[in-house]
Amino acid sequence: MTQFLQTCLDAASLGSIFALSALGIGLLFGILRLANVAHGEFISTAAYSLIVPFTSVAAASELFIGKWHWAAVIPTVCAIVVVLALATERFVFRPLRSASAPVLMMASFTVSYILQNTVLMVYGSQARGVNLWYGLTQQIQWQGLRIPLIQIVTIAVTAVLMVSLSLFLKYSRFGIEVRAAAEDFRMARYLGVKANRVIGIAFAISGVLAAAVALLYLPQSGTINYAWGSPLALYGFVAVVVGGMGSLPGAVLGGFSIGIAITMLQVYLPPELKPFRDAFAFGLVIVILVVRPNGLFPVKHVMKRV
Amino acid sequence: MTTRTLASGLLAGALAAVAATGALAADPIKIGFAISLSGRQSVTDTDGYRFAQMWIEKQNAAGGLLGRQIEFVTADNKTDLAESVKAGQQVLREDPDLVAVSCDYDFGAPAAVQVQKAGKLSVFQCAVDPKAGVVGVGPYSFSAGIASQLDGAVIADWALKRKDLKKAFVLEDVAGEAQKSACAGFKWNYEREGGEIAGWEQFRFDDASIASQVSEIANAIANDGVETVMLCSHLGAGGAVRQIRAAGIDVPLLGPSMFDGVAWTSAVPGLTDFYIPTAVVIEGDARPDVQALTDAFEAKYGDKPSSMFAYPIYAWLELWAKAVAATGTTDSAEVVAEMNTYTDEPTTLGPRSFSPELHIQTSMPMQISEFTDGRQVLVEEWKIDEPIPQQVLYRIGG
Repeated sequence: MTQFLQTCLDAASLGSIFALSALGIGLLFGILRLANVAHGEFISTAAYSLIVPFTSVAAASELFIGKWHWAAVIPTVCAIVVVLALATERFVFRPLRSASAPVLMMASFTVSYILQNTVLMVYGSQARGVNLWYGLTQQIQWQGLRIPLIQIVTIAVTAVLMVSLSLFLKYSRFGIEVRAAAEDFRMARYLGVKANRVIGIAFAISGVLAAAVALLYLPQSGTINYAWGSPLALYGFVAVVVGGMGSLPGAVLGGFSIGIAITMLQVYLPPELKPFRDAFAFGLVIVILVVRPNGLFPVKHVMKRV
Repeated sequence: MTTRTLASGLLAGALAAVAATGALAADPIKIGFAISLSGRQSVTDTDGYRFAQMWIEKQNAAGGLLGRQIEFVTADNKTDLAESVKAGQQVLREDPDLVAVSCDYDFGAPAAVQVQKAGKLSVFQCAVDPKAGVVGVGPYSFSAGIASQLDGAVIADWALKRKDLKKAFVLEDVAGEAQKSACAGFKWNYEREGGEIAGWEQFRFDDASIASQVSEIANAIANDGVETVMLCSHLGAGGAVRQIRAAGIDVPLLGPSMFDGVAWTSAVPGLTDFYIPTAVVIEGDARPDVQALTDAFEAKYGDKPSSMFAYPIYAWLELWAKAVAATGTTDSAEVVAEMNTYTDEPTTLGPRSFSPELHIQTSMPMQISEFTDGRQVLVEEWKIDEPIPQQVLYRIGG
């Protein structure tokens, strides 16, 4: 029983990371129909901004922003990623606003490629150790359970961010505009919603979420490489698809589902099948999509378009 | 007049002959490099390339090879599989006597296959897969590197005999073949020498969390008396080490040489008691020649080599030059036949062996080093006493 509870806790922690990643991706998809592949690079950039650039490959990496007080680290990293996200919107996605979804996706692949190679040039391809907030990796032993502090923080921050975002979208003027745009972008514009502002807000929020993912994931992972954020973005995408394209609660639920599925498969699959853990996880995704082609939380206006 | 004409003719002939001989002597030996000078593989390949250039300069300063100077041509494969084929073809157009290809088997093989087809000699700068050679590419292909299986076998042997660690938990990174090969070598030698593997879990080095595997390890230590954890992965898995240590698991950790280098160690503050076998120890190798080579590299390029994977091409080129000198030709068949006879042949980096079946190191002594307080320090040299069987080298038959 203790082991099962431990597994549930591990699953919730992993699910939180995926949920946050999915939220950032789902938000942009909801409004722009943009599957932003570069979200993974937003996450990587947040992580890399913490260490000193142009360090020798033969030397251990040193913290840069990462060694500041956490109260300074969080807003600085968020600001860096928000600026990056807004820059990609202004210079890449805005000129392509009337383009079709596949063109937007190709553009985001290009952004991803450019950002990845920029990281390669500045920080090199060698995996780098980053010791961010080691104190958070401390374990709390409780009733036989091993609870790393970072897991509690991750789950709590995810919950706070989800609730804040929901309240923001529901009650603030900007939030209502964002939701209106997600519902029917053209009609929202006819009714006076400023497209640039709404899309800018969405990109900024996705930037903050990417920074949150990086800052919550890095204390656990401790090592970064130029493609560090890509798997998180991939799972985020899958979560969005499972949850229902365009649905924010769906994206969050999808993220938790993927995290739970992967952890449970890792623990309970027979040893000889464990190497195929991800194949089973994606197999489950296919089953979900066969049973519910529009995901767990289908959004009506997206269904109509399909 | 006749005498003068004859004398002139003889003089002209002699001059022509001298000129021809001069031309022959000046006809250089060419080494092609089809490697990654950009993209993610560039760190290792570039440093290997630098060692190769250091060797070429030294050899040329000593009169070259067969009295001929050594030149090189280079093509960047940009860490791209399709570009690797093109890079191989590009250097082949220069008619090289030897082609060095990328360290990584996947990126080097497309070029090496082109070189093999052209009937020329190729060498992977540091591939760790025994397929990088006769089986995977062909009889004229070598790897300058060390089979991953040897890493696992050496650290298993050392852990049992020197540290008396009789019960191990294996954490296998299934994201790459080299990592699985290290595990295969470990399992073979550890169990053969009487060790018990009490648990075996898998992960991927880029997994967001290995919390469930860490729980398994903690249970195995508490309930089954596990004394050590073998982590078959590479430096990208610094996060796994961090998660293991953060969970309060303080048993000695073992790993393959792919953890070599300290760039990742910031991930684990106060890391200690983590042992890996390496070909060289960059800071503080006990062998003066190896340390001198590292110092020369640093003096020339202003930085230390990124990892041990930069070095092996240097030793391999020494052996190739020895074979070329012995046979008096750069002809692939003759040089390979000569190199296939080398058993524990001395090089600056220690002894190397080849056979007609194996063109990668599977038995050489390795340097055990420990990560301690952010540094990697030499412990001692260690060698296994039994050859690794074929089924372990090619991971066949379970």
